[in-house]
Amino acid sequence: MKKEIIVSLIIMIAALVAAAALAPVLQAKQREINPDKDKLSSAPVGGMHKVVADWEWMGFINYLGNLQTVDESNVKEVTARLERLVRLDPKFERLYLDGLSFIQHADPKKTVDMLDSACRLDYLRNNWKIPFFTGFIYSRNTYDIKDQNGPPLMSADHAKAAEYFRMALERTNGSPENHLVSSYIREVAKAEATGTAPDREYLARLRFLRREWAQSQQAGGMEQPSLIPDLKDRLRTAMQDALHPHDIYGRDFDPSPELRELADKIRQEVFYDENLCSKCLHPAKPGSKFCTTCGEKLSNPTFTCPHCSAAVEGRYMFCPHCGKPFSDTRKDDKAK
Amino acid sequence: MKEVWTIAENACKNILKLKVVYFLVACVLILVGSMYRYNEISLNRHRELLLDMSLLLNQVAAILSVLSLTFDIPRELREGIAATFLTKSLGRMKYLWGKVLGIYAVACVVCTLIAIGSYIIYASCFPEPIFLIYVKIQLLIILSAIPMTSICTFCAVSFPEMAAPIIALMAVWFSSLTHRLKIPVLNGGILPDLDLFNMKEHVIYQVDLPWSYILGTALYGVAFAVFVMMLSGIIFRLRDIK
Repeated sequence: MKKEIIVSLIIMIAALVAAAALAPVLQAKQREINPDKDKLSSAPVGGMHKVVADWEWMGFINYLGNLQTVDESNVKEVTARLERLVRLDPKFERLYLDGLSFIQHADPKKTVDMLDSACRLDYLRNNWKIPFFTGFIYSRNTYDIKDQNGPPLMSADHAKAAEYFRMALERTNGSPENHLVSSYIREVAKAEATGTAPDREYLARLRFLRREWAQSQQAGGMEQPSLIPDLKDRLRTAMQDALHPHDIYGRDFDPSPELRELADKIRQEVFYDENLCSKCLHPAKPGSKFCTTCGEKLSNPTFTCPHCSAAVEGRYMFCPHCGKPFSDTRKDDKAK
Repeated sequence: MKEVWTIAENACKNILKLKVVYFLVACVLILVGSMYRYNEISLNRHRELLLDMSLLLNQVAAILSVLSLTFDIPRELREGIAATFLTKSLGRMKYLWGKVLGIYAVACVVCTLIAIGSYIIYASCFPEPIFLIYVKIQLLIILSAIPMTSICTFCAVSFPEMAAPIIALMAVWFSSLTHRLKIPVLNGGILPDLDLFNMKEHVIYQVDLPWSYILGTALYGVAFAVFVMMLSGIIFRLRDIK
């Protein structure tokens, strides 16, 4: 009897040691597999966070269905429910995109705080919609629904908006939607625009895109992948807009000499091998005498090689007639 | 060994021959299937709801299956059914192992039935394939029954018949929270860590789970179960049973 108890005790201790040794290894492995697990609520739901989150979500929808609107009278309750949901299921994407949209007007600061936390979650690291939504809220003034003429609840922060739009762009794996790219360029321009000139944003936009273009070039003129797709086309569109600017009321005004000068520089640097219409900047097909977009007579129907003066059709890095690189001309132009 | 298998077989058959078990499994599957109709009330979150519910109910089924030990052992002791096994001290340990294996087999059968039924319901409702990760998570639920069975055995031999099921249920619940203690040896050693078996959200978010982790949890479950079973055996041997 005693011997059996001693044997049992030995086995028991050995099993305890094995379990105690295995547990921390598995806990570490679990954290490695699921780094967001620590962010779960400490509510004693016996590990049933997901299903409790589902029930909470249905309760939240039901609660919202009974509200006319979310304003200062109920925003605390709505926010508390959303926070509870986030703690139960932090990976729930629609909670951030749909749920938080209900409080974005009543409590924009809380909304961006919660969205910012979601942006940093490991599971949602490839989600571009959440940083886009965050950038969208930062991109404009948010006013109280009941007092649209009063001071904003949260003022626009274009630098922050650009930061989140950039984060969203980085998460799209090189195929972003057009509105995301446009929003990013617009917010960078707004953040970098200085002074009071009416064309300051046009200027900032051109400067930013020119900088991006320069960064995307390597020695030898090889194009590097940029966060902004179709950079050349966007640069041309930005130049077209800059040369025909209008104010926030839609009234046209003349571009400043600084803006014209910058547009000319970009044209020489980026579009040196393209025959752009001088009026609308639309690229003309080689051999065309008139612009197919605005009807303007083209001054230079085909591109002329600056070295051998031969007419060159199409985009080339080197002249097909004399073999000299066009990029040298660009560098010479810069030096001049 | 033959005695252990005989006890296990009897324990397993006694429960599996009850029609109410299959009736409850059918109720669970109806409940899981009804989640498909929650598309409007959950704003199209019915897929997640269906999967979460099937995993929750399977976990509950596993707990209820192993909890039957806390009723079964005290009842057999009270009614003198197990008297033949308990006349010798050696027989007591075999009796416990037989009961544990039998009830664990019941938990496996019930959980497998629910898992297969739930998967058929899911596959007929939603096109997103989840087979492999679903199998892995259901396997973890079945493996979680190993330490839970040993906890129930410990409660069955250590506490009075009336209190044992309640204490066992509380112990299982508490075991899912011990990971928050973060105290070496105590957490995961003396106190079980059932949270290691809880990776249910991986099914919804389709995050893969390595087989090495599942194997690790199986080893942990067995190690912890052996520890608790030996402790229960010692207590059971020292107990005065008439």
